[in-house]
Amino acid sequence: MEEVLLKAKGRDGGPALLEDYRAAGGYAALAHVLRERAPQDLVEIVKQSGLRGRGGAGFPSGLKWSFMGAPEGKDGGARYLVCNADEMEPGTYKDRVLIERNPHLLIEGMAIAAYAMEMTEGYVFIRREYFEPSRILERALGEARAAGLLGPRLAGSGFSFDIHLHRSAGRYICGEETALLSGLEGRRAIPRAKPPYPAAHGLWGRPTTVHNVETLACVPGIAAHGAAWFKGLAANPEGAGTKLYAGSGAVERPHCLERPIGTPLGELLEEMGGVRGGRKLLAVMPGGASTNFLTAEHLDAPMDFDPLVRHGSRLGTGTFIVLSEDDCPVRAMVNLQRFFARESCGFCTPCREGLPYGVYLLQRLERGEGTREEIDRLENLYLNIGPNSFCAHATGAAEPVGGLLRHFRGILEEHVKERGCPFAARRELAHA
Amino acid sequence: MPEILFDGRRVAVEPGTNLVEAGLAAGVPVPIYCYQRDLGPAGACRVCAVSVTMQGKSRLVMACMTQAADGMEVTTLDPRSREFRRWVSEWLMMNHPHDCPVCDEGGECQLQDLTIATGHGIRRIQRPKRTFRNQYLGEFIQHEMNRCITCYRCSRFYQEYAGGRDFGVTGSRDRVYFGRFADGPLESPFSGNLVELCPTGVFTDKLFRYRSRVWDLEISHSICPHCSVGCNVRPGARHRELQRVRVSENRAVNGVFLCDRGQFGHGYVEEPRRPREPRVAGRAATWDEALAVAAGDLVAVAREHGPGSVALVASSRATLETHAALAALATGPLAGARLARFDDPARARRALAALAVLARAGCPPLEQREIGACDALLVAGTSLVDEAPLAALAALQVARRGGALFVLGAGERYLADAAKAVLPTHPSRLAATLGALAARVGGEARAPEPREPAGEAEVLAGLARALREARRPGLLFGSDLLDGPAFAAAASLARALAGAGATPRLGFLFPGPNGFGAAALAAADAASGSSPAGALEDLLAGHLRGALLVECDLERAGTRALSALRELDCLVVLDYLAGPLVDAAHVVLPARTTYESSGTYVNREGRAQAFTGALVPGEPVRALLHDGSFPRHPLPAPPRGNSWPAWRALEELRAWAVGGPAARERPEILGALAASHPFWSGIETLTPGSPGAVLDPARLAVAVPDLAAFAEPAAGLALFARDRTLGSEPLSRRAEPMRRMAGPPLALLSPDDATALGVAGRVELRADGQAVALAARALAGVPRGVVIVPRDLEWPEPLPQGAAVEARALAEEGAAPGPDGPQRAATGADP
Repeated sequence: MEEVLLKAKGRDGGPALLEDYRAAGGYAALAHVLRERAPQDLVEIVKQSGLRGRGGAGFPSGLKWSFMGAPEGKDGGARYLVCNADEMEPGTYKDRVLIERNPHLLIEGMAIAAYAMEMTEGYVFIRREYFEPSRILERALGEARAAGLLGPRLAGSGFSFDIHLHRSAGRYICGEETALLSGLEGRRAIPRAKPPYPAAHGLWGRPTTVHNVETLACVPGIAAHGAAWFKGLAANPEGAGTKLYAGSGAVERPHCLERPIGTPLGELLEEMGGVRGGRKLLAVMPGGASTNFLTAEHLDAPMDFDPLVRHGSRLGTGTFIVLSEDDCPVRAMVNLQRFFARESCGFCTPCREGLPYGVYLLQRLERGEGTREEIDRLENLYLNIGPNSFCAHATGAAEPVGGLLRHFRGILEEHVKERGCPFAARRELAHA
Repeated sequence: MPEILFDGRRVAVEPGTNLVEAGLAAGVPVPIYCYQRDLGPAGACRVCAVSVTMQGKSRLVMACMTQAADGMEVTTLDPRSREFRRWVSEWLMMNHPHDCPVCDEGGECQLQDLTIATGHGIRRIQRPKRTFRNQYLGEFIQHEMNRCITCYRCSRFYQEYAGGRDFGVTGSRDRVYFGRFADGPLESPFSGNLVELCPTGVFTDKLFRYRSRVWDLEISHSICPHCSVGCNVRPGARHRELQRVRVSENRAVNGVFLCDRGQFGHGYVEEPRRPREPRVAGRAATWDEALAVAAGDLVAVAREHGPGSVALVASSRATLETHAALAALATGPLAGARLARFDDPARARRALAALAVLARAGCPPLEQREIGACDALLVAGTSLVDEAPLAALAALQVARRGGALFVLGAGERYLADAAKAVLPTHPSRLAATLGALAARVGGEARAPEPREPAGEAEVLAGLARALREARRPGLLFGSDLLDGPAFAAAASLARALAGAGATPRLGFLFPGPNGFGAAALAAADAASGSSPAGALEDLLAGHLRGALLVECDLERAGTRALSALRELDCLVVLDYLAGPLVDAAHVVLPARTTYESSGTYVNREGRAQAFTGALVPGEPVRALLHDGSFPRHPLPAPPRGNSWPAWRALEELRAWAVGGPAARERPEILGALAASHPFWSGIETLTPGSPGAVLDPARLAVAVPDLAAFAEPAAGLALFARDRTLGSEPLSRRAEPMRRMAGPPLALLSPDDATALGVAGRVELRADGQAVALAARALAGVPRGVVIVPRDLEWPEPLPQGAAVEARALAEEGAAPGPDGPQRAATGADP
């Protein structure tokens, strides 16, 4: 398969520098667009391309771009493009790989998107722990500026645009777009009520669009080759483009790779060498910690937005976590829920107090101290947390618990009956 | 208007109404923690979840975040929303300590009420509760963070609504912390509202700590006596002590907020030296003895030297009833006795000048509730937060809502950051500046005069435009920093705006809780020939022979005046505050405080409000304890509970001095007042806790008093005294811990003058051969050539506003006062 997002290669496994990127045809799309395309045309092309947000929600990008067309936002004031590189979803590391290998693709994508949406300034909000990617991106931004690809009147056109790198203070909630904007403004990173949406009232009250790294990286290809080409990249008819997939957990060779979107889960697993140690597959969380479990019966499922929804889960970020038959899903869930409880911003009650309550119940069940009533209470707890919290954080936390109860209620009941974890004995055997 | 069905009740509400308010309109109180009407919805606590059915689809929504739409069916009674609300209670109680038996919030705790109401009763998890370290937040507020349910009301009020910066939110997840960066007194003069806003016991009143269970308190509808705004309060008393004062919601006046002076300034009620029994010649006496002596002496002086040698003086903290009874005393042998309605001649003239402007301007009054609704507001001739704190809080809302707030001030700190522009204005130039503004409003740009500071013209142009184009323009003036020409200029500005088609709402500050009422009475007195300040001036100058002083604060009147008073043939004092005149009086008649009596005040907007007392005064029970325990059986009568409302005492005195029956009921006395002039009609019908009645000064004939212009001194600085936020007016000045929180008096200088004089820590002010040394601070916003001191600064002889003083820097002594911010000083560590 031809790689699109990871096409440009650096030397000695390092990042693709400006010359490497140019050698692979980079920045041709930007020059072409600035010369040939009206902003409105680009919005239309992206709409037709079927590009959907790669940050997890899968919102149609062209539609998002069209929200920036409102005339009241075009008063000559600032308009912002914000790249969300606050990749903190457990098991997710695709944006890091992309920035580490091909930082100019993101820069070019941002410049084109900004041109299409008539923006004046860009921000990359990057995860605090991404020290190396920050360094790489900073260097690439410097290269681009020196080459006139960022800054005033870029590439000799009448369009001016520059990108600032902002390193997060390090909270998962900063990945939520409105919390990200609050954080970028120097306030507490707490989600804002929507409406107003960022397109109307975003960063410092100005029209703003927030996109994931990978989404923006898809833009140069679409701009260069058109919507039909992008659609044709997909493995399933309803999809569009390629996707960075990555595996973690009980896989033989966990790594990140680019494949047509809609590649079946089984194939991706195969490419990573299958389940570690040749064990049987217990479950997969297809797109990070807040997506519902898939099981062995779903190996044929195309890893794309709509098909996975039909299987009761979500593509999310497309970076999957694998559990083998030796891994206790209850134990895994304790770990995940501790993460979600810890990363709550503390604004609304269900999330702030309800998630620690869930951790408490899950820990008891995992240790074999729980009761059947507590299994029911666990279910009822998350049914009440999920839809009723202020932002999507707790909703995301509730999703895999729903999956645990649907797919592995038996295992939970075993924990109660045996007053302990049935996997513990197996784990001991495996390590003996 | 959207019509909805709320728990089966049909109700129509204004478009944009959220479902909490719609529920109230339908008579269904939806549970709330984070929502508060003035702060708006937050969506944090989630306890207001209700089920909404619209076009056949039903879902759970947060009532505070959802606007009523036509055809909505809303219910709080369905199993789904009930289950969710029960969960919210269970979540909030996971970490909330069960210290209700020792918590001062117990009995008025929203968390307690709603936990029960939502049906959570049994703790289903066993794990340690979260704990926090508490902070020392000053002498007013106790911090108990373990009780916090993270509703964000406190931080939203403190920062967003009240503009405070030293208190806020830190931390995340289930360790969100509400406090300061470090221990220290809260700087906002509105910190007391945290007590009322907190739905549980995180912030409690330190003065009330462990004193009573709230259900044991005797509570009444009262009016705050600490300034002229007239906020509604709820005093709470027990064991013959006034134990606390809380805000009482009155949407027509203060809404639900109160300032710290009003909330924590009540210690004077229990001052140990308070006169509680009648005294004659320094010895305790019965009322009859004291009244007989007082009446006899006053009449004797009147007979011997003529009634014009007797002064009957009350002040702007005396009620309308008291003033009416005082005037009624001037009959028979006392007919022709000279009446004074204020205890300070200069303030009397200014109050009358303000009333005269209001009476002639033809503008609607700038009511307290209208301040925040203005889209352009000019605040001039005052430091509003110091003189009328709650008016400043309302003015801040103008800026918060995107309106244009302008300040022509002398040392305005509180509104400075939010205002569109602040022009530090020397009080002697205020008239010229207002005149230039009036000219601009009329479309005429005057040539700048020689003393005009650079940049003033642009600010005035912007201000004139904002006022002229506003849909709801407002003008709010102080009074203590205005001279005669400034009052005239204020009137011409109001006229110019009206002429430009933008009739403003117009308001002035008045001295004291009943300053407007006292001024209206003085205007009537003047119509019958007596000058508003003449009687008092003659008295203080030693020209009279006898005086009856009712609730007068003459401690700062100067040594000459005090000795003149001591040398009177007859001095009768009727008051509840101790002081040198109580000690010197031939007859002392103990009066009751606002919180112990019924009465009527007229606030600065002209609103007459009636109030009732919460307690019958007497020696507090705690002062009588021998073994530390409270008595099980009440005594038949309160010991030393011998004080009467001032008007009652005056009526009895009239019966002794003049004859005729004494009025025993308030309506009798107010009825006479109501009959005296149409301005007062209906005054006797007001009920406590109601919106009261706004009196129309246009009905009064008010002569413009003779009020000189301030002059800029040829050398030195011009001295101006004004209130400070805490502890400079006569009541809260006597209150602990108000005095400690207020800190020492402070002289405020412009940064330029401070630099020129080399002032770093302390300054000595000299004038007329007297000198006072006090701490000093440079403050941006103080105009050059001016030094501002607190009103209660003591001089051997008082200096008039604008007096020339020489300032000299003194070597620093101890720690310098902090940077800009209220004058609060740390007073110790959390015990």
